[in-house]
Amino acid sequence: MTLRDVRIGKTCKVTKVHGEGALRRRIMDMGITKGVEIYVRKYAPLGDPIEINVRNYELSIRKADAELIEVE
Amino acid sequence: MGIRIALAGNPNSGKTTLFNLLTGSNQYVGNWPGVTVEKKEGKIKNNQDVTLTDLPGIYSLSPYTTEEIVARDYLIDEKPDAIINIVDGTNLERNLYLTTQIIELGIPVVIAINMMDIVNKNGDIIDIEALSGQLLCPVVEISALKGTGIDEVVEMAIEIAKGDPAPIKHNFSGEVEHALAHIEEAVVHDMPPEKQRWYSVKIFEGDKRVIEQLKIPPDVLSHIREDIELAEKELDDDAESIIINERYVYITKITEKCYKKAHKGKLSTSDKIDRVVTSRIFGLPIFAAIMFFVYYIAMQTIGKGATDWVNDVLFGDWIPSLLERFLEPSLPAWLYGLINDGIVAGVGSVLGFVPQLLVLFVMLAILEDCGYMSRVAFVMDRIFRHFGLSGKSFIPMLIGTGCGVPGIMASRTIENEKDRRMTVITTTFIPCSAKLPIIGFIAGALFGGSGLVAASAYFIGVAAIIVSGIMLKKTKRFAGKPSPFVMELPAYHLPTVGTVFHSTWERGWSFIRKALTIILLSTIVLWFLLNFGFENGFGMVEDVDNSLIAKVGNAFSWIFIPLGWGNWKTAVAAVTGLIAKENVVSTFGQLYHFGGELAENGDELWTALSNDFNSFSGGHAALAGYSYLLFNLLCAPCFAAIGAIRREMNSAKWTWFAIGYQCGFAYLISLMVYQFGCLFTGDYKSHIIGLVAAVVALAGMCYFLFRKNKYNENHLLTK
Amino acid sequence: MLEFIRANYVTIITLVILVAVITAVIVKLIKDKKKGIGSCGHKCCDCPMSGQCHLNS
Repeated sequence: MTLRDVRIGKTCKVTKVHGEGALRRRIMDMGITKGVEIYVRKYAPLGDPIEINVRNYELSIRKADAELIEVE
Repeated sequence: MGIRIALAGNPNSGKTTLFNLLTGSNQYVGNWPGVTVEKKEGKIKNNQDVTLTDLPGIYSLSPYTTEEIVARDYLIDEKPDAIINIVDGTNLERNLYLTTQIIELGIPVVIAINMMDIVNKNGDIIDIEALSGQLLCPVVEISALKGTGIDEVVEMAIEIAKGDPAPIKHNFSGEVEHALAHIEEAVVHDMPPEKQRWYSVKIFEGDKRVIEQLKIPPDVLSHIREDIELAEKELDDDAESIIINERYVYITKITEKCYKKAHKGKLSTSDKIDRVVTSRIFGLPIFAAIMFFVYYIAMQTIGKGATDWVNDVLFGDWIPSLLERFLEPSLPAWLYGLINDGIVAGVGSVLGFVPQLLVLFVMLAILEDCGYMSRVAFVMDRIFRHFGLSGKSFIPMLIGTGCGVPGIMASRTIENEKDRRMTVITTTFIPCSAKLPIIGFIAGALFGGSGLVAASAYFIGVAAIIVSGIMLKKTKRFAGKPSPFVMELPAYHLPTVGTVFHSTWERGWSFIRKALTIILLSTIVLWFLLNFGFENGFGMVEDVDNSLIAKVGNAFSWIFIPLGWGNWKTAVAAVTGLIAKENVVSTFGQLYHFGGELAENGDELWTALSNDFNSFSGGHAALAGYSYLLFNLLCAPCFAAIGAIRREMNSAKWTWFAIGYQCGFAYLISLMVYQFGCLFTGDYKSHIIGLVAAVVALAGMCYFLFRKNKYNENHLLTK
Repeated sequence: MLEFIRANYVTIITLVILVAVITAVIVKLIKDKKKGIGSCGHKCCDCPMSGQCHLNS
């Protein structure tokens, strides 16, 4: 499943980052790499973007981009 | 022989604050990520021999974004003597990711851990010595906000600048180090030893810019590729990901040894605030309420009282009396008229709004400084994303509430060409500070000074941007994939009095200066046009309707009849807005001062306006006034802004399109507001044609808004 | 001649001041344009956006 499917309050572990070029690089540069734990804190009003906690800081990421992150 | 030091670090890590502290300059520090996009230089206070360069905030040294390219090109080509790497202590791991890359550059680095005041408050512990030992470079604790540790970090930077860079640690996995060794041998062995590491890592990653710059011969390239592919196969990942992963693995090892977080998982104060402010249910209403509150306070309660005083007492009483006593008897009538009815009336009516503006600026500065505005980008992103724009488009909107010119320029941070164009076209829909007098004026004259009108202007601006975005995105010229949006939310902090004061003063003074220069000149020119005409031959006119400007105005004012204000006065005032939006108000100020008649104070001015609007709209003063307000808010901006649009679009065709779209949009919206408004009050017989036109316009807009998007690629790439 | 001036000195002074002010304003506007101070009141190098506008630094 992808990060998009993770519910609020749950923690997951990244298995793979899809996508290409600048977007993928940006996602990984921000610390979302294979094996890292992500805690889904909340969804913004209207459901998008998602606020997550990764490597001890808060990051907001769109649902569409979260789809590129495979987790378990 | 001066020393050159570079400041590098993540966005929002406090680089610019530190830069300002060290160089004593006053660069504007906005509290949203990614604002600095160029390097800035300055000399360190009390040490003129040392030049400090502030680089754009970056997350990594990849070749993908302009900021990263600017930063790394500087570090490689300009070869500073030392680098101060600012690290946000509350966000250690992510910040150290950049640190590991900077260290590889072969330049002496001192790490400045910023925000130590917050780290200590949270109870987190960073073992500085251990960290320094791991990274093999000096580490200094600072708090740029509180001003602690600043001298130490500068001293350290100067010291290491005289020495050698740190020895390189080989911290990647065996397979990677193997490939890197091969690359070093094959390609970079000619370079100075301290530079080789960075280049070989970049080549391993497949960094296109580096590979191009080094002009690696194809046979060498393919040889290296083999080595890289070997590593990729063994580690089951692509080269770029391998490096990123391994960096973070390395960092995790370091932080395990050096960093202890006090409360694991406990919400910080910022988080608690965010829970409410960006929550699904309350986020948008809270934003709406806050903006309403801001405009209400500024325009109605505090501001209005002061504005009334300035208009009624200062410009209504004191100054005219002074002029009357000292000048009137001794000056020829025309000169006295020029001064009293021209300059004072015109400029005075604009300056009257300074109190309201100051209050507004203070409130906006507070909101910006505490960090709330970046939350708003988060909240608004969903709406923006719906028509393919990213939260990045929100920043120009924000800057546009001050002046549209930097707002338009701010669109440069949007890499996507189509999104950029769209942002340039719609940024000026947000009321800039020059449009605020118009809002205050109409609200005061026709709506009893209602703060609701002021707030509505802001919301309509936002709505206009969104609606335009949706319509344009569905056309071929603007369709396309939404830009990436991965944004960090900086922590809240209490706004500092200094910053708020500075920002308010800047904007306020800028406004006053504009009134005393451009608007002053405009009032003089207008006075001539207003007072001269062909009554009985050419000369000064008795009846203003015979003036030159009235004749010109009458030639085209009929266009605006369906909008409820087809009169030469309103038409001319709107046109003078092209020079500066404040001119709309100053023109009215002069119009109602004609020949020294009435309008001794603000109230009378407003009554006169109200009466006029009543007469040319057949009794619908408020409605016509609101339609007029909307037109002026949405139509083409002042020449300065148009110039900025021209520079950004770099094409006459697009500039004309932008202006045409804005005017057309403004016209149709005003048309609909007026016609449907009249309809609701039961008066439709006198406006049948206009009503039909309005209905057609509405139908057209709905079609463009709701039609299926043939170009919808909102569902992104999935492998 | 002197009579004329004495009778109308207020007008003359006012006119002189007016012309001086207008000239000063125009001169300032031209100088600002040359120095690069835009309508927002600042020079390019003070603006956070300047990097994007002048990419050929």
